[in-house]
Amino acid sequence: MLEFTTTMKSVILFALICLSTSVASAHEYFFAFAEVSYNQKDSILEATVIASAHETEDALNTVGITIRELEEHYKDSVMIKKLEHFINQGFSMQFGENTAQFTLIGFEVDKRGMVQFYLTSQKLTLTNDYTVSFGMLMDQFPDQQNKLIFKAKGKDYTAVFLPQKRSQNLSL
Amino acid sequence: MKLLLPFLVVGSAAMAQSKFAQLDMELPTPNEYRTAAGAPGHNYYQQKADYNISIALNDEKQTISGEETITYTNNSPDVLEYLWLQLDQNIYQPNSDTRLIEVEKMEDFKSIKDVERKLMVFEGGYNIESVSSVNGEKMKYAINKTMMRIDPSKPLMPGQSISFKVKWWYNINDRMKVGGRSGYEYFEKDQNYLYTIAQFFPRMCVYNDVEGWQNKQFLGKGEFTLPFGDYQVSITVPSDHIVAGTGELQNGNAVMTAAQKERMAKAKTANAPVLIVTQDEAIENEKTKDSGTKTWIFKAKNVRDFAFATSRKFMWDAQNTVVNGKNILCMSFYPKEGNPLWERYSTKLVAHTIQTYSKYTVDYPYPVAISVHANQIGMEYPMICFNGGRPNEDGTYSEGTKYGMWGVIIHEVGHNFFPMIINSDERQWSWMDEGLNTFVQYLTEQEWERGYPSKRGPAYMITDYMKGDQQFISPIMTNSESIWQFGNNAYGKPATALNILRETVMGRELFDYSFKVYCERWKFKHPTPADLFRTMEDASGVDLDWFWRGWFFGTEYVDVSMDYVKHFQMNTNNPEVEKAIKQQEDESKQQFIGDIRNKESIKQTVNEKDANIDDFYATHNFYEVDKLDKKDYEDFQAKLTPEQKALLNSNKHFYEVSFTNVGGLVTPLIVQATFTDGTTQVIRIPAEIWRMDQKTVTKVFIFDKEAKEILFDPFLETADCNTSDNCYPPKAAATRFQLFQEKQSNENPMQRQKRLESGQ
Repeated sequence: MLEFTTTMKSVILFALICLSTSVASAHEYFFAFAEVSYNQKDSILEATVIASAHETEDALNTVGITIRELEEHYKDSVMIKKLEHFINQGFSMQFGENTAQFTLIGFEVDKRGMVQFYLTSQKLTLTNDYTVSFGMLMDQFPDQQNKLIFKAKGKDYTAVFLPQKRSQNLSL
Repeated sequence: MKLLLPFLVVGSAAMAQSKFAQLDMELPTPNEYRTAAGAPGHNYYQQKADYNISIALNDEKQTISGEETITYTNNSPDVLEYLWLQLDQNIYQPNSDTRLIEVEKMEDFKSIKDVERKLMVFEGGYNIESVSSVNGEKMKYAINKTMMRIDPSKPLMPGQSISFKVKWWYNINDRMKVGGRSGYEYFEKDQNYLYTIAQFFPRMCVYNDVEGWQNKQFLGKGEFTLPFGDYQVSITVPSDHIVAGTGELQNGNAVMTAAQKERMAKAKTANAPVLIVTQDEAIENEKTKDSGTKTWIFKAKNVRDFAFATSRKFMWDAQNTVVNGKNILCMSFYPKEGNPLWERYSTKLVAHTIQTYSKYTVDYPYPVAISVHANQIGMEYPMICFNGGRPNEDGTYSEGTKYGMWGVIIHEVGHNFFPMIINSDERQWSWMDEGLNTFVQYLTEQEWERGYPSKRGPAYMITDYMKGDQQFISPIMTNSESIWQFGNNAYGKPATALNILRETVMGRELFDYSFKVYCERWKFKHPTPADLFRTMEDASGVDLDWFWRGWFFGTEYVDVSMDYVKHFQMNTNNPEVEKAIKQQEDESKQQFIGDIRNKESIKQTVNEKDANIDDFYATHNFYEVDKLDKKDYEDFQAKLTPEQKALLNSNKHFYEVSFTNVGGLVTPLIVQATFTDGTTQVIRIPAEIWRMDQKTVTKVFIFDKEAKEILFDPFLETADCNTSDNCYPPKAAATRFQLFQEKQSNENPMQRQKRLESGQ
């Protein structure tokens, strides 16, 4: 583990990515999207996180989760747990003292090459002010930008996340 | 006068803000070079740059060296004191602006690997050995990062040409580690290299009426723009390499085996791929390394660049395709690692792309079109492109990999048209080639396979990007280097916009005609956004300023809500009909709770007990039709013409519908009514319905039958970002989250089939 004398302790990431993605390829995607709704009846969050499957696979490999194709792991409970951890590291919602812990209930890759992760949280109560962090894939792809749509109290709330702005304090 | 001024200013600002104001301020003034109709003007000119290049590849050290003679012709009316060349390789210099302008935080240095990566130094960039006249006299030059200025001994006058030589070398980047649009991939198992080489020689910048010299520094995103010219390129490589390059091979007799030449002769008339180098031959070839060299010579006419690929790992196949009577040789080069996908699909995709793009744009003008397999990227050059799409080592692949490979080949081959032929300025406007190309890519994919899962193009697929927070969304009309969300902005949104023009705003016939006019006008020329905007209007007779303003100059999105629907029917004045309706309406009115309970709790009211209470008003049946009612009706009927009587009896249904423009981007209104008998009717209203009130409009729809549902945007063609308020009566919109069937397998379908066939 590498430590800096200032403050930061961090996990080791095995990054084998390019010097700069801006010179890596003419045709990048770099856009992840989360649609989250609050299930009033069960007091849980239901989320779908969508990203490019290939970019997600590349990112997983760089953080030490060896994977060839996501499609090979639909029923792989060990991999599902690793993916769940990966997603929770890159996407979190906090309401007051409560941080949503997302459980990955399944995922699928469509023909367009997009992976859709389906997640639910533990029971929690919404607060008017909340904090969202959505830095998924940003460690691996400096051009990554993510977007959230949160459906709660009959309205849609959107927020955009950038590598320089991975967390936002939001209000309902 | 002083008093009036503020009002004039306010009035002018209001005009400017109108979503339907003409684009007078935004577009450049038409002139003799570019007309108001969007065509090249009567004095349009463009420069010419011809190249004669000799290069040598060092496969031991992964370096490339070359010497080029450039003949530059000044067709402009201007005197040129200096010439500018592009040095794209300098983006790899350790101190390049590309690296310096990367925004960083300490979060980027989490691990030793991160630090290693950040400190990794690749000694890239040009080593310019000399710049000289063709007689060998040294020429004065200055290098400014990715640009080089050459100062001729005397200015280049209009109509004059100048020839000069540049000698250079550079280290080739490991594309899999350093990244890049070109470079090499190293295959550890057989210790071979696959080189995809581009942007490898100092190239003339464009000089034109719009930018003067287009010498904006290359930072990484805004690709490049180049003048057209003729090329002769000699490439010296290890003698066991197979080389693919822009243009036609001039010395096949010297570099190909007898068997290869015989197969090529067959391929030139074949309508399916013929292998020139088989997989077995490629595998055999990669086992050893020849020490000798061969020189492959290519010629290309009227192209804006040159690229090539070389490796001893290459398989090679080819087939012919005919466009408007002209033979085009479609070819693919790939290592065994690309199979089985590449041998089966690549060249067929090349041929299909050439055919489809030729239909929608211009006839493909070049003699060859090549697809080269380069893992993980997609990048385009004239007649040749480098494409990803690699199966698993066991030869299986997922559908995502297959469609990814198909899509990237169609896209990159399609770039031959945008910007290689219709030569827009990528350094300034990425969308002009990426967006237009992605649009025609969509059309091409749909003609390859019915229901092809295109990643971009259909209107409904852009809504996640466009809706909501606009803070980090750029207008399409943003310089390539400053775009938020590059992929969605430069590829997805313009492709969607063109799709909406084609399907909804203009219709296919008008759109296809106008788009083809644009392509024909600007093939082998340098178009600007204004030339596209103006041509599409001028050739179609459709005012599109509101569309360009909203979709290309703004970031608003389409979100139309259907606020209310009111149902009316005509009053027949027939008392038999109207009084019965009135009675039915009154009786079916909602009742107040007090009235309901009073029926039980008040046993008898005063007027029920005392017969003298009720007067005329209490006892008269107002629903009863009397003589006077009938007389009035007869008088009314007598005044009507037969047509008016028929209209009155037609039982038409009137629906007043109110729409609110929530997202701000004006759109045509497409409304579908579904009637009680199950039939439907679609009404298409142009976007100009919003011209006076851009927030709320109402419309009355008149039907012969009663509608049970009225739906806005029934065919998902407007990119409406919130479909939950598009229906009367309202429908609840589903979120993506849903119970889904768990997949039953830990393997891709091809692996499962293999297991099935092997009896495991």
